Amino acid sequence: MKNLTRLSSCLASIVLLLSASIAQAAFPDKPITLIVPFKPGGSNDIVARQLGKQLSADWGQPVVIENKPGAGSDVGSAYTASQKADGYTIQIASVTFTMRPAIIAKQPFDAQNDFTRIALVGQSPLMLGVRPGAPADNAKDYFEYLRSKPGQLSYGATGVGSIQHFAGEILRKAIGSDIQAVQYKGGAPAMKDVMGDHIEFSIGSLTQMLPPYKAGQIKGLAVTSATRSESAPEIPTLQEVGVDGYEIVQWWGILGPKGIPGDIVNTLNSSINKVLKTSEFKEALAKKGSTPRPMSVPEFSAWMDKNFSTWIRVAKEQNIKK
Amino acid sequence: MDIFANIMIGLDTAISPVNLLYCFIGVFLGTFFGVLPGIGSLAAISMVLPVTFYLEPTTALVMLGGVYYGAEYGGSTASILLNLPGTPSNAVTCIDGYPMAQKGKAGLALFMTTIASYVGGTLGIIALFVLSPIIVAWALVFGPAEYFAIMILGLVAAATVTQDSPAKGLAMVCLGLLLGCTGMDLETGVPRFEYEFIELYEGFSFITIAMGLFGVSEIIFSVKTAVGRTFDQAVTFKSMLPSRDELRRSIAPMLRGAGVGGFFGALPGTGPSIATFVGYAIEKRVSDRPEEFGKGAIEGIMSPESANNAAVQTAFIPTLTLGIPGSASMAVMMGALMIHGISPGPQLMVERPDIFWGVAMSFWIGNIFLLVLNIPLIGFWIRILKVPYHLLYPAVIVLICVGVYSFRTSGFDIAMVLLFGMLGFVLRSLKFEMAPLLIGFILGPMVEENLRRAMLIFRGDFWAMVERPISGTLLFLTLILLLYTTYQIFFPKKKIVAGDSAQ
Repeated sequence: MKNLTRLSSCLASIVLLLSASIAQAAFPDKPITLIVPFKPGGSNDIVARQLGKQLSADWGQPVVIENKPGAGSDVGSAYTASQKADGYTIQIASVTFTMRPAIIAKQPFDAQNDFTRIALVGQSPLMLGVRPGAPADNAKDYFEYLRSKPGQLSYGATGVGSIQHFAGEILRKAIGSDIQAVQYKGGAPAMKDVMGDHIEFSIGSLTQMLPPYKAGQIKGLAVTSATRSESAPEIPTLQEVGVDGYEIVQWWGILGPKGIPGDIVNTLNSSINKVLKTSEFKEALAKKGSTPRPMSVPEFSAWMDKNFSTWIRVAKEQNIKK
Repeated sequence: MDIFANIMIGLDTAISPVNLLYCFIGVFLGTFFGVLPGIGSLAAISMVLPVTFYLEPTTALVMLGGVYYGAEYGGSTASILLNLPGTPSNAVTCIDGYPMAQKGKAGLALFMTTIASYVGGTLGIIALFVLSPIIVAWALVFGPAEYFAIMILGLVAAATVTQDSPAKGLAMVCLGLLLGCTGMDLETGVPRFEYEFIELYEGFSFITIAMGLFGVSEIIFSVKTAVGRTFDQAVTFKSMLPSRDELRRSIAPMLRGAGVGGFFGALPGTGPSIATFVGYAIEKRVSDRPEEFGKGAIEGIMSPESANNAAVQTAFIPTLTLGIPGSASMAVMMGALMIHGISPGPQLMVERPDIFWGVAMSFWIGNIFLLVLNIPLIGFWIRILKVPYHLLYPAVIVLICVGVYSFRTSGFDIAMVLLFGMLGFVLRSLKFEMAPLLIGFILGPMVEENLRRAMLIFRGDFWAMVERPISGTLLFLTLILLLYTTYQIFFPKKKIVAGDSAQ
């Protein structure tokens, strides 16, 4: 009897030990917070919520979306950088995150070194949306027209150093026009002035541009990605119409505070990549004209480095102020 | 386009039991959040948004729409009872609504704003049905030059909202303009007046300014005068009904307000707040007793409330038909549709008439819900005033802080609202008015943004703006208004006292 008790207590402790080690291995064992550094309803928010929904189903742990908008995306990013590096606070970041250091003199964090790079989620091309009254129906003629009226034309972007501004300035230089950038508080108001023939063009997200393009209220003359978009395969890429090497895409990635242990980063990366490969996620992104793009941790890190250096170089070349 | 066929499609969608249920829940939640000080329609929608991801797209929009106009409506309750505007548009309602409540006419004020909201909302929905295509065409004609012209007209018109001292009113407009300058400059990316605070990169949040200047300062102010005092308010149904004279004075302002609101609501980027200021300014100008404004004139609540709710409805026109949200709240609602893979735009009306007309129709049903829900509740709201101040005010301060914090989850904003409360207290003690400051704060940045945009597009040629027919006309009207106001200052109108309005 005594032996039996001893045996059972022995067994019990083994079970306890085992379960403890399993619990340790099974990251995550509590809810994960996914910071969205923008207001609800934008593209970052939509992508984050879809990802969060599927991750929480996979992990059996809730993924809490927390919107922390302000100062571009700096308020939310500064918050993430200050959190514990245990993998339980992660953040969605977009191409803008790698552009800001090139144009903002002082950020409350070091964008290149204060974050753990976890995974790329997906990407989306932009569309060159041209005013309906423009005297050209293809990109080549249109660029000719832009060159023919120096000192008169303007295009719309969404703030100094926004992706739309970078995209516009690079195009302006490539085609040799002196068209002037005018800033708007978002892609929609800029597009409205394109539709009303007030400005020449705006290079905006495919999601926003497709409905008026299909209704004939703007001319879609090119997309900014290296390959055509499945959502509008009839629109050529800028490379096809003679703008060599032009490739600018909107993308979303996942970051965490600096110093998350490597095995947790790998777990997060593989769980996210698993979600990216589901047809549910592909379909959700396709509705926005976007595609998932799984990457390993080193690949994503190299991608970030390349982005940072590209934008710093372009900002210098185009004289976008710091 | 056959309007009746559209109404039938709409009705079919709107009266499905699920949509009716969520419409009611949305309106209820919206009113509830709107009444809470510090929680405006944007915060209310953002809070409810995640819930709607699990609904059908039409149902989601029906519910969010309900929350939106419910909150815009509910905001007037706190404005009238406690001088706490929940949204920019409700700030105008404070000017005359709060004095009415202090005179013991809270019930009447709440009842009449409910009616004004309903009438304004209904007329807005009729515009949504009948005028959508025309309004869309108009909205596109408005470029930066036209926006600048109409905003400057609005600024000049609304600056007359001030009562006693024009100099003090002007000073407050200017202070508002300066506060509005804070934050990142759009055209250059340079932060202005941010004093190293990252939280100020996007400027002061409207909520902190409105809550601080109106709400917190009101509370500090009454501490010294009203310890333990409560207002004696009649809560019988009869006390809510207007007298024949009050009714007569209400109708025209209500209709004019709906017109002003419907127009501004349909212009993306302007929206309800300007509509209410302009609506109020017009009433004060056309009234034969402008001296009563600011002291509890019923016209002063009817026009802005009607304008507000008409604008709220017509704001859906550019959002749904052009895919261009006119305000932050509208952007959140568009996001809700896009999560379901529906991109609002010109095709929506053609491809998904059930969504477009169903949502429009449900708004009207929702407005009836508002009426049914709120008239019985008026008696309940008024009882809030029977709570002794020493219990009510600490609770309100806590609610303000929670509301302000939840808006951006930012502790900085709480500090700001208390700071603006102090500022408001000082300004009030010196007999300055708060409304002109808000007008400057809201309109200033819009005027600047559009002027600079237009100047860039025209390469600095101001005359190009005057030569354009719409902006030219609007600028001309502004000039006339300015000259007329100047004339009035130097040659004040002799006061004509009619027999029935003699005091």
